[in-house]
Amino acid sequence: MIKPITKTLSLLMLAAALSHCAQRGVNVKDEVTDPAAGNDSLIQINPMVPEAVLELIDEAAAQQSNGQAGEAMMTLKRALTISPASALVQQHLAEAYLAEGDFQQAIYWATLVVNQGPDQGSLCERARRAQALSAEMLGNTELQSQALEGVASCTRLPPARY
Amino acid sequence: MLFVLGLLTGLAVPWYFYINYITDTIVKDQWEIPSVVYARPLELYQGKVLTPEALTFELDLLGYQLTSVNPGSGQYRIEGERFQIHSKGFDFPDTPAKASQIELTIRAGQVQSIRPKLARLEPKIIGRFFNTDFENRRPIQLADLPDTLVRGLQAVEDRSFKSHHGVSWWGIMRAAVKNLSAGEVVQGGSTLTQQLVKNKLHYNQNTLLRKLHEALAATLLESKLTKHEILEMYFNEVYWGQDGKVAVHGVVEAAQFYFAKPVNQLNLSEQALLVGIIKGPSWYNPYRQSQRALSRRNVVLNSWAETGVISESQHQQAKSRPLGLSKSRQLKTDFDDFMDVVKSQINKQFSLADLKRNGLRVFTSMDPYVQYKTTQTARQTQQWLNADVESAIVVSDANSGELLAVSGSQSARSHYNRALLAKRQIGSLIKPLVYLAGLELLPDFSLESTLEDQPITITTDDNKTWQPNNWDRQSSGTISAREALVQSRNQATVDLGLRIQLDKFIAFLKALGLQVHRNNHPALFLGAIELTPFEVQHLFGLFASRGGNQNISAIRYVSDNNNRILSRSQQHMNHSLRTVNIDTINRALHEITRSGTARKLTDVFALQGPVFGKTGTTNDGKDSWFAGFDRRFLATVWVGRDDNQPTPYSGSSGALILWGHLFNNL
Repeated sequence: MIKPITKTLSLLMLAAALSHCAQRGVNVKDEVTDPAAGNDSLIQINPMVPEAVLELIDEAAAQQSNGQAGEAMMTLKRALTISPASALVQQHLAEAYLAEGDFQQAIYWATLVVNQGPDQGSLCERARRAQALSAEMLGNTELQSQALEGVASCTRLPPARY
Repeated sequence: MLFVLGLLTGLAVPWYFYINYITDTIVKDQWEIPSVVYARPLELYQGKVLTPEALTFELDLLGYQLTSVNPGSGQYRIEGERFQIHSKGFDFPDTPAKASQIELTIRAGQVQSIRPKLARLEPKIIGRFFNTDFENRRPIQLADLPDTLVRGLQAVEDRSFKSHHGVSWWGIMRAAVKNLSAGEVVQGGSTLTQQLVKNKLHYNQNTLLRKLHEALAATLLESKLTKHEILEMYFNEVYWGQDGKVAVHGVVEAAQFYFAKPVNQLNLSEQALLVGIIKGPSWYNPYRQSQRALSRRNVVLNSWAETGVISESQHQQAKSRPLGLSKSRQLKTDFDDFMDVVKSQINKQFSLADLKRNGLRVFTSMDPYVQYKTTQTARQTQQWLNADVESAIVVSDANSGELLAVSGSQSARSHYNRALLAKRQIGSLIKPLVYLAGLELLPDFSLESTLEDQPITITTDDNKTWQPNNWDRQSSGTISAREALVQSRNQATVDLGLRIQLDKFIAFLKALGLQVHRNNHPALFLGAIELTPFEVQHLFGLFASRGGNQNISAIRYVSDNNNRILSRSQQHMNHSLRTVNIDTINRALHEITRSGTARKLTDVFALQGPVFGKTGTTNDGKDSWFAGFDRRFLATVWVGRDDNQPTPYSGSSGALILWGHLFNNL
């Protein structure tokens, strides 16, 4: 008797959690980029990319602020053809997909940066926050908590002086 | 009675609606505006790896003219290391690019400086699709066909074509009488419209229900299309024979296949042979059954003379001609093999609703210069390997998995795309996956662990004994897993495989997207699995991208003719492999190219920068493989024979040679 009740309650809780996810909006700036920008790790890794890529990332940002999400995505994909292994471009793509609500694609690109990108500094943190947020939206709580735990590993503070 | 009536209505009404639907699909099959397929646009920016040769190739391919003065639109000037290009502009779906001046210098294989900072040239058109089946053969208009061919087809296949409504009941009765008196099917009573339906819907059976189905569909089709349209569709659709594994459909392809000519240049006897073959392309195959085909052609010519399609003197003259078959079919273009991939992927990646639209623009990742170099490499297969072997090559971007080039044969005459279609045993190419499985599944296993490279006897499920051997018939004893992988030791690999266990290894492969059917033999650890070169490319994409990408994709996105993006390609990560384990295997793959079975790449080809790869050979050199990558490109090369006979080549003396030449030239 207890088992069915527990099962029903669990299902109800899961449904409530999922419906919360469905209703919950995503704010990439507040939940990913701004908190990561404050990362004060002693080691900051900023992978080199051609200047043309930085130009395209800026162009995509301008398109996003003008409400041209589709064009922004195309611009980032163009940047990716120039630097296919660039963690910076991959992270921007993850965030663009997050903003668009395509969490499957967001998690793909964020996971790529987590696995292959820098393991220190603000880009490291951004990737883990984006991964956690997309995992949360997809109801993958295990990956969400794993990603959030990883955020702390992105910061290496200078040794304390006494 | 009421029950029977109800039953009939219940069956007949849905049947009618179904047939109405399928005839609609036949009618809507042709596009008014063909879809255009583009190569990738060449991006120009500081630091871009680019040689003057590659840039000049691209400009010439796009039709730019070399000039010695200030270039106008569509022209370019070269002054030493400096290029001045006046681009033509292109309406890209993201940002339209206006025609503009680009100035750049190339030094040491890189763009040293450029103004503006970022520019792109318009993409090359590499093909067109003319119908919703994504066929790249251009349909011919009825008016462009010789009149004798059009009237001659009706005289032989369907004399009452102009008067019937899709089905000739008189023809059916006549055929039935003949068939009954012969005691077997000797004549078909199908009209051209019925034959068209049969071809379109790929009906092969001659059951009564199929015939009824065909008859109703033909009648409905006649109410939706004019006789002119039906005849035109017939000429563009009908099956005319087989070129190896490639079906020959439509009169344009047939004329090229049998006579290497455009249709409007066919003489009367050639036209008659084409019409005659339709009755049984295999039975009357003129290449195999020349006498039978000649008799059939003459029957057709007799029929034409009898019905006044040709005069008696034309009849006699045409009958006296030999078959006149061409020894060579139209040569493939450099882009045809890539277009095969586009065709096979477009339906899988994009929504059907999007793809039904007119005038689509399909943007692919093909790199025309890499394609050119790949084709050149394939064409030199026999020169470098000095034997009668075939080859297939697939090249993609090492990081993104975007397909850059494909070659399906060493010959431009072969339309069989081995890169996409030829499933062959992969041999030792599987070993990196065995060792990766070891790292993923065995708790204490590393490449420093030891394995036993010694004779082993295994009793398989069917109670037979299996004793794997090494390529040199020697055993190395106890060796490290790294050495076993680098030196491609079979016995040590089987030792590891047995520790992993076969069922777990199969599950591991399946999780990576490999289809492993009915394989419960430990020879799987040594590559007893058949894959196409394209599938191998998928697998090695996993290593080249460090686990980031295992899907080799040819299409970037599709837009409609108003430049609106309909679909973008999607990325998927279907595995949960640890990057650290993939990196470990990659270090071994690098070692293979320095001191292992692929050391020729270092010793002979002296390739610059780190190179990674694995050789593969199957029994008696039936298949020679090499799959490898550097920082930019991943390529898989297969060498072997279509009839699966032995060749003198191992992976390192066959496929690797082509791979080395290709990477030296890219």
